[in-house]
Amino acid sequence: VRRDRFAGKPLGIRGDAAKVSQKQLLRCYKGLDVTIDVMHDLHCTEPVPNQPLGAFLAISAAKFSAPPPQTSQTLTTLVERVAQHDREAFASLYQATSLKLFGIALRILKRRSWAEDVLQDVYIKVWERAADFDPSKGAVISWMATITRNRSLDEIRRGAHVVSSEDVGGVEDIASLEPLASETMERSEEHQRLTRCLNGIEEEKRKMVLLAYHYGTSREKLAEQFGRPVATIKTWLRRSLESLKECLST
Amino acid sequence: MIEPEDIDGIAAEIVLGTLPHDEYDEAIALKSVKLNAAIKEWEIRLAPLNEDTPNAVPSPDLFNKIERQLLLKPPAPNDPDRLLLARHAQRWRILALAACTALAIISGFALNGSPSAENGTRAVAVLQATPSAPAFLVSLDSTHATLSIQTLAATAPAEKDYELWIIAEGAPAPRSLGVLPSQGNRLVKLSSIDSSAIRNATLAVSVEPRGGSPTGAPTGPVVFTGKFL
Repeated sequence: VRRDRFAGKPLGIRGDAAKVSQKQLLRCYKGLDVTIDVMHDLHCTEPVPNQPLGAFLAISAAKFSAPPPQTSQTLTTLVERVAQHDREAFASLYQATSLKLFGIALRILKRRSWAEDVLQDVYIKVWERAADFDPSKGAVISWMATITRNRSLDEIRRGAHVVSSEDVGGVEDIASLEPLASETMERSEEHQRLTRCLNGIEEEKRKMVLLAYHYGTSREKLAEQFGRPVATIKTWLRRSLESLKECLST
Repeated sequence: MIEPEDIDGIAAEIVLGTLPHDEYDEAIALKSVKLNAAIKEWEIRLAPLNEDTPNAVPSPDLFNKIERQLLLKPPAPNDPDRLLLARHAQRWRILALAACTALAIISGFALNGSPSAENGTRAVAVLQATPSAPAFLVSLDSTHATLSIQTLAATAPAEKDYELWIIAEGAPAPRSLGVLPSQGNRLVKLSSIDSSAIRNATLAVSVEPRGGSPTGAPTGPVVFTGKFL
């Protein structure tokens, strides 16, 4: 925990909406919870406006109440309506997907303002390209997540943003890469298959793949982190991906 | 040139995000059908991992920003968006009217001191980010083909200027009405813009480099918008 980074700053909350409890909000209000992990549970970084505790809790609770769960079918309907430039559908689609997409962009870009810029581009693109969405080629959320990842990766590939250790979550958190067993219960069939195949890869190599996918960690950074030559990292990544593909096709 | 046996590995690393950017550019420039198909397959293969990414909450203002940016994009002639835009504008007009009325009462602002108040077509637009925070007041005098812009409360970021844009109905692109002053008034002569077309236009203010957009089109985020009441 690097509390010093936030020293003297008033704190707000950020985190997975569904997981934020009243007690956690209270800790946040008092400036107690500061975690390095960008996305896990709770992260107090936004300024809390000067307001009494009661008001803070009420506002926070409303802010963090999760949008109603959307089935993939309703999302598909929304995208079809967005293709007709239906603004209300667009707002609903944003409501239903922005938390996930922001989570994806923020993990890669590590800075809220950058992730928000990317998200803005993503939704403009979704507005313009909704008619191109093909439901037979996957779920809406996967389509949007792919656009988000590509835009985010593009940003770091171009070197437009140099992520410094000062940025929130600058430390890539290996511990949070693999979901808890209790969490995987809620995952899709595809996810369970992919996890089984990933578990067939040696741990160190699996972690490299996951760090790259979730945090956009480059070959160089992986080389540094794992103390291996860059060429080795490349070979390992390619081999891991190859065996993953093979495992998934059986 | 990519070796055929390399295509899948390159596609996989593109999707994973680890292909160095020079190799990435090279690969994409080939526009290879096989490579693109392989990329799509890898996207689908790895997409379930996104289920593990915890949610995060963007700033509450982000959706408004996105909507404002969409408004700047002029709809195509037969675009169904047009109707919705009109409906949207209606809602705005009501909000803006409320803001404007309040303003007129509070600040004693009136269309005074202006000539031909009787026979010139007059219209007022409030440019704002939210209904509670009007930033500029734009009044149109169609007789004299002038726009008068009054800065109410708007300070451009350091080293930046606010630039006013007009998106006339059916116009292919926004056109600049110039850089806005940080305080006081500015008068714009509407020589080449038909003031009747302007009546239904959307006005927007973007953040631009000092002296205005270098490209002739908005380059920065749109921060205030409005329509004539």
